[in-house]
Amino acid sequence: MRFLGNYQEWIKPEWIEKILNTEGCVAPRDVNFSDEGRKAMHETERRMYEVYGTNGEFFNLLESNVLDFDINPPWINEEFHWWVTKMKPGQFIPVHSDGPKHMTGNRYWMPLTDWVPGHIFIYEDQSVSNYKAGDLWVYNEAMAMHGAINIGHTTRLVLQVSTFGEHT
Amino acid sequence: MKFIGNLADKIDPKWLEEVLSKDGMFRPRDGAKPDTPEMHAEYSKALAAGYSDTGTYFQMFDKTNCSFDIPAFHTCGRKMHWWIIKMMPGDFMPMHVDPHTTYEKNSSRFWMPLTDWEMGHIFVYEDQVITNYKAGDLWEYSDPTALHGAGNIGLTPRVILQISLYEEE
Repeated sequence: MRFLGNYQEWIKPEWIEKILNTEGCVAPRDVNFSDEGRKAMHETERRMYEVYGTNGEFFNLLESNVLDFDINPPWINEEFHWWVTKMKPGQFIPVHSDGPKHMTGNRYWMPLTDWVPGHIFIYEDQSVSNYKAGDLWVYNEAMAMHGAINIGHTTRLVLQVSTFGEHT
Repeated sequence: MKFIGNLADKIDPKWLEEVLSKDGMFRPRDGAKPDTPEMHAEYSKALAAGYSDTGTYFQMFDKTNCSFDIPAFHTCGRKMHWWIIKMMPGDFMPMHVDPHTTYEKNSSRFWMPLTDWEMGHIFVYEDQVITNYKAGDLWEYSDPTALHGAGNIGLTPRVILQISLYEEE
C-alpha cells in the first residue's frame, strides 16, 4: 500500500451523516450472486463463501444508487467506480483477494472516519493504524490478500474507489 | 508487546488436539456476569457500542473443561492463571482491558499462540497488530492493563494460550 496524502477537506460532512443514516446493501446477505459473478470470483473469494456462507451480515455496502450524492475524486481523471463500506462494531470482511477482475487499474482506500483502536484493515501481513479521515492509500496488487474487521466501539467508514485503466 | 522467545518444545500437541476437537465455553453468552466495577465498566462500554452479552464471540478453555493443566513457568513465586481462547472464522473479541490486571498485585500478562499465524488471524495490542508468529512464540504485554482485542477473519481456527501472573495478597 502506498500513502498518497490527506484529502480531509474534500470530504463533505453531509456525506458522513448520510452514510451513517443509510442502511445500504447488507453484505453478503443481500448481494445478488449471479452465475456470471460467481464465475468471475477469485478462488479465495469462493473459499471465503464456502467457510462463511452467503447469508451473514458482515458489513453494509453503500453505492451511489442508495446515497443522494456522487463523488468526484480530485486525484482521478479516468473512469472509476466507488462504494463505501460501513462496519458497525463486530462486523468484518474475511480475507480474500479481488482477483483477475481487478487486475488492471488502481484501488484507492480512504477512511472517512479517524482511526480508533479496533478499526483494522489488514493487507497481506501489514495493517494500517493511526490514520486520519481523508488519508488516501493506493494498492494495485489485485492478488494481494486483504480483509477488515471492526472490534472497536464506533462505526468504521471507508471509501473505496477503483479505476479501470493502467496501474499508476 | 515484548517478544520473549519460542517455547514450541514446551507445548504438548495434545493440548491443541483437545481444544480443536470439542466446544469450549461460549463467551460472553455463558461467561460470568460482571462482578467488579472494572468488569462492569468493560461490559457497559461494549454493550453501548452494540455488542451483545448473549452472543458467542469466541470459546474459552481452562482447567475446568480440559483434561490437562499448563505447567507453571517463569512465575518467580507468583500465582499463575491460564486460559485458552479458540476463535473460529468470524469470531472476535472487542477491544478491552483485562479487568483483573487492574487490581491484581504485580500483574503480568503473557500471550502464546498454539497455532501458526495465518492471514486473517488478528491480535491487536493498542495500535499494533501482531503477525507472522509461530506456534509457541511467547509475548509479554509491555503494560498488562493495555487495550487489546482479537479477531479471526481467516479460514482456519485460531488458538491462543493466555497466561496471567500475579502476587497473592
